[in-house]
Amino acid sequence: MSTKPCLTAVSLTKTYGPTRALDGVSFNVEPGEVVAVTGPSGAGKTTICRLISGLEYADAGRILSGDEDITHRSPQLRNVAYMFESYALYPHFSVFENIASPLRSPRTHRRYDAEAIGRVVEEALTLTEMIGFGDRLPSELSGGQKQRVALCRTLVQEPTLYLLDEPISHLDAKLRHKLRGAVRRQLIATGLPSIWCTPDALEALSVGDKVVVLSEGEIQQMGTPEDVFLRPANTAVAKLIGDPSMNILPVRFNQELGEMRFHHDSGSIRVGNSQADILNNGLMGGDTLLGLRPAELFIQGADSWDGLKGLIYTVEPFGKYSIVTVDLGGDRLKIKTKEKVKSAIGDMVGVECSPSEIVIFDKNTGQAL
Amino acid sequence: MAHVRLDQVWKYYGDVEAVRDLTLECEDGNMLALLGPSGCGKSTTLKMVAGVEQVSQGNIFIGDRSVNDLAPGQRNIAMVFEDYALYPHLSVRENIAFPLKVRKAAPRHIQSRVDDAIDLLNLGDVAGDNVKALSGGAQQRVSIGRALVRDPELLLFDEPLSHLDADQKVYLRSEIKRLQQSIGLTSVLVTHDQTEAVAMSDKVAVMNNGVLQQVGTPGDLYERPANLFVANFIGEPPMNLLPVELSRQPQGLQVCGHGWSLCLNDRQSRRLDQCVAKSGITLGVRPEHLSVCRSGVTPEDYSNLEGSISGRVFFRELRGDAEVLTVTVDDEKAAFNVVVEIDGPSSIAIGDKLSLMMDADQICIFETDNGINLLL
Repeated sequence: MSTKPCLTAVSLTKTYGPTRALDGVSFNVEPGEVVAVTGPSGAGKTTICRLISGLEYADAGRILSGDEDITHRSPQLRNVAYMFESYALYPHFSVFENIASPLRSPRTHRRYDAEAIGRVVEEALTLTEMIGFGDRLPSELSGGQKQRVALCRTLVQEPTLYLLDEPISHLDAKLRHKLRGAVRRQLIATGLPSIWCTPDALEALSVGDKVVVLSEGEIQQMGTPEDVFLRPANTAVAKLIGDPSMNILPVRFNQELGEMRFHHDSGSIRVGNSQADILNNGLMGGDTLLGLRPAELFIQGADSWDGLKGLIYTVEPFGKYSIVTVDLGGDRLKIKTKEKVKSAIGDMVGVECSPSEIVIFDKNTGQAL
Repeated sequence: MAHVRLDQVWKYYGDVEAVRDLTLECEDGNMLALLGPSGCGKSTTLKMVAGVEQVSQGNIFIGDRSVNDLAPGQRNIAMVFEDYALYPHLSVRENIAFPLKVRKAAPRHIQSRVDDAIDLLNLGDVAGDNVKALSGGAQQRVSIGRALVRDPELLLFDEPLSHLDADQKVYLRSEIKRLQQSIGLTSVLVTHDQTEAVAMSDKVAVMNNGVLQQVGTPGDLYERPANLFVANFIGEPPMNLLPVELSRQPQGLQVCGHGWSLCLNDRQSRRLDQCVAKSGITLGVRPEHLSVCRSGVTPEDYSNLEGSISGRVFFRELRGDAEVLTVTVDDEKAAFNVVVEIDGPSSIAIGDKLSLMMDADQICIFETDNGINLLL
């Protein structure tokens, strides 16, 4: 089996006027691998797509396909299947013709007769639950339907790389769930490298073999979904990942009578063994930030509780779980619980956290210790 | 504040029935969500309550008075829009004060009402700023403040969070909920997003094709959906729906699927006693009400257990603290997928063989043709 080339980005940098959209971004995508790029709007996701597709050129840095340097190659010679966030459908073409258009291009026309084109388009329409819409014009479609046509048009291609910029963001929850799985499987089956950009961090965890967390043009962390979720590299990553995201609580660390504790105005938390090692390494003393995952926090009766205490701020029931926000005198913690919540707004409660699940961040740099 | 009641309300656009025979109530101080896919009639309903659409037939009451013939301005209601609809050239304070200025309220009264609203919505730091400079979430808080200063009897929210980034959405969702609960605002919320509806409201009305499907607390809808539409619409990932047959066994009623079976509890058996002969039964089970037995070492160990479904992991998604597995069941008779949600991250991999156990107390049984939940 011929191995397909991987895609490598080396120190990509791009500025628009005074704005640095990308700053030294490096990553690689192996054949048959999906790299999910996530970050808030303005993080640089679309800029990465534009540079790799060749629509724009980087100010500095290189793009490699296998060993070949394609940094300055024109877009049509790169053969990248790029799904635009804005869909970019041909308004005068039917849904069918939009999806068939890459199959009719001079590079591919010899391999597809009318019957083969019909079959490939039909398969794509089936996957995206768009059967029956082939004759419509884009102007007769909803936003979600247009997005599915753009996705179909991308998936029917035989490129060297797939670049998907927010491919399923405008679909309903049910279809998103289906397509996360179906599209990921199809991408992997091609054996080509794929890049999937999304502002939805949970979607990135779902679809990526690797997740790249981007913020303000810089990579904050790159790793497996488990890495990024369990071991965020810094507070920027911690605040982006999870539903709801990790709580960041400022505390003061000290040692009294041989017992190490994190102190907050609302109470204190005993330091676990793994944190004690970090703290004993002399990396820090005094002020620090704790990362507390909402599902690892538990509500306790306040009366005999000697840990963190606060007032219930809101209770949001979601059916299978509830999110309870507890106000610790200004700092708020979100707690995700599967138990029925009996407390009401204003009630005093204790907050328990399992010490082994706490992540410690440097107060000044925000880096995980 | 006042309660709101819709009594057998219809809305026609020509021959199209946009809303059909809708009877609904929102109690004083509660929030009612109207939820459904696009075109279900939820926005039309809100517009009729607001008075910008005429009621074709039936009555709408705010408090004890019928408002059918009142113009929007006479109904003493306020509305919060999807796109904020702020005055772009005015500051936060001027935007909030605007409705009072228009009514020529006394300057001292305006000052104190506006101060209260700014306080309530944590807008103190930006009170003098132009609204264009604010984030979407802050702009929406301004628009809520502008609605509140008028002291309306009823507050209408039209997709208030749909233009916001994810973090702003989560923040404002809980802020609106807290505000609504702590000052007892009677509110009606229109949304297509079930998460918003369930998180923010006391009661949720699910609509489809102009017809009310079910109204109840978020727990009612989630645990006791009235029909297949609600079961399918509420919950993410959606409820698993599997065709089954009902049969009578010595120990009670039993449901049989392809290669698995499950004994029903006493309550379920009693409820379904008359349905044994029926064909076309669908079992519904939520992804988190299935648990996973690893069967890698002795693959057949679990497969004879009642209620267990065997298959291979087709797809695995980490969703933060949860993990969603799509398991393909493929025996000689049938091939179908079952979606399971477990605590994450787990060490399960794609291709692993698993047995799934169903929590019998948590299932729903539907009549397939008309969709009715037979256990209610």
